[in-house]
Amino acid sequence: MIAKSLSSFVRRWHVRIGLSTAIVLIMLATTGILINHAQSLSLSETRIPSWLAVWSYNLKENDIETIRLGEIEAKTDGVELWVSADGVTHTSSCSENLIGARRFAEEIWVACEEQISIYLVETGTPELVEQINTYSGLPNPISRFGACNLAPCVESQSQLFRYSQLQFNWQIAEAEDGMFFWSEEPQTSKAFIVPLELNWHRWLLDLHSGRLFGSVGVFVVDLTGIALLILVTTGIIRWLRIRGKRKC
Amino acid sequence: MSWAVFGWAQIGVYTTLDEVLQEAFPEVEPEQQTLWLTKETKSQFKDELGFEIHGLRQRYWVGEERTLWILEEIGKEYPITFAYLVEEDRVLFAQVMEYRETRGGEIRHAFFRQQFDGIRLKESKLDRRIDGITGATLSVNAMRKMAKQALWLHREATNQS
Repeated sequence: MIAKSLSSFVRRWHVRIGLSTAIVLIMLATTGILINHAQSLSLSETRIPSWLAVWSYNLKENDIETIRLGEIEAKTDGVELWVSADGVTHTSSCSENLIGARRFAEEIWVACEEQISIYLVETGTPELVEQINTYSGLPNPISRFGACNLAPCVESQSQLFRYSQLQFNWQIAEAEDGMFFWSEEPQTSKAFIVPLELNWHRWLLDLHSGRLFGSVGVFVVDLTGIALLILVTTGIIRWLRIRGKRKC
Repeated sequence: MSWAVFGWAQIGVYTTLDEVLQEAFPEVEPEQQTLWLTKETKSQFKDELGFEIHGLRQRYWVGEERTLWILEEIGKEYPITFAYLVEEDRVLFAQVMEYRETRGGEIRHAFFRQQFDGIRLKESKLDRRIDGITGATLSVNAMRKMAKQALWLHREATNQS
């Protein structure tokens, strides 16, 4: 009699716990499989969409600085630099503020405060030629960027410098040396920028651990872990009982 | 809190361009040159070293038979600026010029950097084992990777000239 009621109790709770944790268990199994294959699926290299980042991480809008040069657009959030043309975007880094951008023959020069990125736009799509900074002899920090006598020019700490295409270095220039055409100032707007670290791998890890839903999420995952242990135990008890009955 | 303070303490400029140039070329005035990286060169680089080289142009300094390469590579999140002086296909010295990560800055210390002295490329790999540092794996990997790149670029620049 006691054995029968215990069996009924075990069966009832096995079903209840199984049903109530089914969704979380399916989620844990699915995310676990995907995390295991994160490298082969390149999950770390793909950012999550901005709507998902906003929903999952309460992402705030960033200040975006933009400069347009005809068909070419240079944008930055102060960390990354996006140069787009013909539907193709090249991503690199930008240190601090965007100062200016200008075209020199087949090259587009985009100046951030401590770095200049040079792109080749010969084919219509931007291709990074190089990034120059203080370690390449670039005066630092840049307060203005433009052209003088068809050459790239910068103003840094109230001093003018002109780039020598022959010697690949920056030489002190005087205001009397020629006409200076400073780049237009960037326009500032707001947009959601998903940082590179918010990729699918990170999102799956946060979902798998429950961190995505704060401490409540972690608690639910912990409870599901305990529930899984109970399911295994009750499952074994039921299997032993059924096996015992069959033998009789 | 103490970890954060310790981490931020690693961020900084450890050597300037002038200091590196002085150390690399004490007796001559180095000349800045550029190495153009064509599609073929980049493809060959990837085939040999197994990773991509960015950009179409790489600057370097040359004096006597030596070349100095200032290269940047992301450790975990931020770029680390390295300097490698190369002569006769071997690294004469490796420096960490600027470190921007909060962890792993131990690679700037001489005990670690000196492992690169005299190192060469042998069948697209460094010819000597570089001992890692606990907690600085990604920075160590970045420094190893850029050492290979500097040696490869030196060979390419020497062949082109």
